[in-house]
Amino acid sequence: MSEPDKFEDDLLYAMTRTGEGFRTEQGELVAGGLVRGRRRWRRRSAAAVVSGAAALALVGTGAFYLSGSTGASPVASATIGAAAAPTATGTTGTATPTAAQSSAAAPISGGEVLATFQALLPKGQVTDAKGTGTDKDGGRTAYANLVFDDGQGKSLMGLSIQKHRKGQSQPRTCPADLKLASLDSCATTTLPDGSQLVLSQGYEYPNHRATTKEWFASLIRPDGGEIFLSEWNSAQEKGAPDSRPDPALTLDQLKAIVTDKSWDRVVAAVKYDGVDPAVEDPGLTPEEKQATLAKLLPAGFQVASARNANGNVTTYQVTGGQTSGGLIVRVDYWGRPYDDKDLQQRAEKDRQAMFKDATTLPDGTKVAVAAADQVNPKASPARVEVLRPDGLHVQVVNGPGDKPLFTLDQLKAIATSPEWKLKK
Amino acid sequence: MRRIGCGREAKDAEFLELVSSRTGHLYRSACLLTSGDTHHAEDLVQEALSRMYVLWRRSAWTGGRHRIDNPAAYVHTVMVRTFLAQQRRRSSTERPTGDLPEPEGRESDSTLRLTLLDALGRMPAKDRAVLVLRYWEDRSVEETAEVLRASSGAVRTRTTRALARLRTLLGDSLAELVAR
Repeated sequence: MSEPDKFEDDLLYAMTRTGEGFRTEQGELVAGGLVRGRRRWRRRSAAAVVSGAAALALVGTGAFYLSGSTGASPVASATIGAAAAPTATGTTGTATPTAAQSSAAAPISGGEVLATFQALLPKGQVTDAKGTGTDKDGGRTAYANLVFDDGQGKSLMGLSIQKHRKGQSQPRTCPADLKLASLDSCATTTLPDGSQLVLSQGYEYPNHRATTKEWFASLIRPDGGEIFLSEWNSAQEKGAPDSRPDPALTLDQLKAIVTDKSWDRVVAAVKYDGVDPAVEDPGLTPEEKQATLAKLLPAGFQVASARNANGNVTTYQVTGGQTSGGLIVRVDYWGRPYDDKDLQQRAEKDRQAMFKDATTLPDGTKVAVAAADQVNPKASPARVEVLRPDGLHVQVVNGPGDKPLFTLDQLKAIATSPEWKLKK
Repeated sequence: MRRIGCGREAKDAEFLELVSSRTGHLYRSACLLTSGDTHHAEDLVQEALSRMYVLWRRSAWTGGRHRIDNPAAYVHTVMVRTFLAQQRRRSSTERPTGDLPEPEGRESDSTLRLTLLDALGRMPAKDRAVLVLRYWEDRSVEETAEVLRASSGAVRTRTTRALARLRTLLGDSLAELVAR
């Protein structure tokens, strides 16, 4: 295959792999699209061109990335590590499921979320109230919507609560050019407890198609909880015209609501979105892994460099005599459950498939071996998967190169070595 | 789903049926177009769905005069066009590159994902759109031209240029990551 063709092939694969990894709450997207669609339909008389800028401030659903769970390609399902069932043999139940802690909190009902919200509102009339608790939709979001009237006109309010893991959320920021983003004001502050607060005054339609305003407060707490409260100067849902000049609550009032301690219970009950990397952490430092590998390489070979050494999967550049090449080593732990039932089920299915034709060693270790694909060895290189009775998973794969670096037996010797030890 | 009645509810139920099965794929396309900005991607999907909703209502209202032949494909077209229109408007507020969200989830795949998304993020929106249409949505040159309202020749030229640009950005890292 010529070089350009190969690059295109690689790109095709990388796109598939990357694209397939994005997951989100489809229901919310569809519902959001429908709501906007209705609005647009009602106002279609003029060419409605709505920029998405303001909507960036809308609640983001907990999008998360899963690897190859859909089995987008043979390689995809093979390379994933979210694979093999915590097989009956060795996986003890003693592991502390760090991720499961958040789900230990009692679920909160939609009624409670709503009640908490209403208790924080000033005096006024509430209509069209609806709350969704953590007992629905996997418990990753809690929200409440209502129309509030302080006597000066109706104001739609939407509140949502999510929880992001450290390093897995993008903090909300204010745009550099408020005018361009059609914002009247935007300010970010760090509160004494470390929470990040964003207060913003903008418009439902950044191009001012309608005068409807949207003001919001977003609080990201040190525990990852995000409380997001939006309000409009309209009852909105029936495409009503503005019901008042400004939304009902001032920014100070919005701030008081999102920072209130009564949300603690709800935040505790909401599950983190995304996958907890700690679940799969085998507890080995990059140095330990590299030292172990160095011991196991065939005579005359040594590790020249390592890429992505901090992750569970590292690509080592290995040299020996005239040869050199990449070796991909994944070491992870399968003994802890994910805090998400769907994810867990998918992982178990993948893991079972991966070790379907495995051989079992006397000590209970399972070994699955896959020779390189005859037609396209680069798309599916030789690979050895090992699952130890204690839940340690070791995967060793020949990296790319014109010539495979090691034979299947050599890979097997590396992967099955008892030198790989779980340190959890 | 609601019982089929008349008016908005029935229309909405049909619409939901129409788009529900496509939304996941739509979202994934959006994530690639926005080079991994999931908030923007969500917005884009909803925007595309809302535009689709209007087109679809109009087609129903005009007795099919503006009938949409392949709604599933069309909503993707709408989304790509929306994306490009947004990019034109907001080009000066473009998120700086190197500002990708932290990898969420498995780290091995994060490497491939982040490498690709980072490279895509450094490319002009139109180049990104061409690559997503050709290499993710698997559209032909002609279809891509139709989506982008450009000639086939222009799409070919842009594809070649975009690939070359991406190669420069990625170097050998793509081949290495893909071979895993």
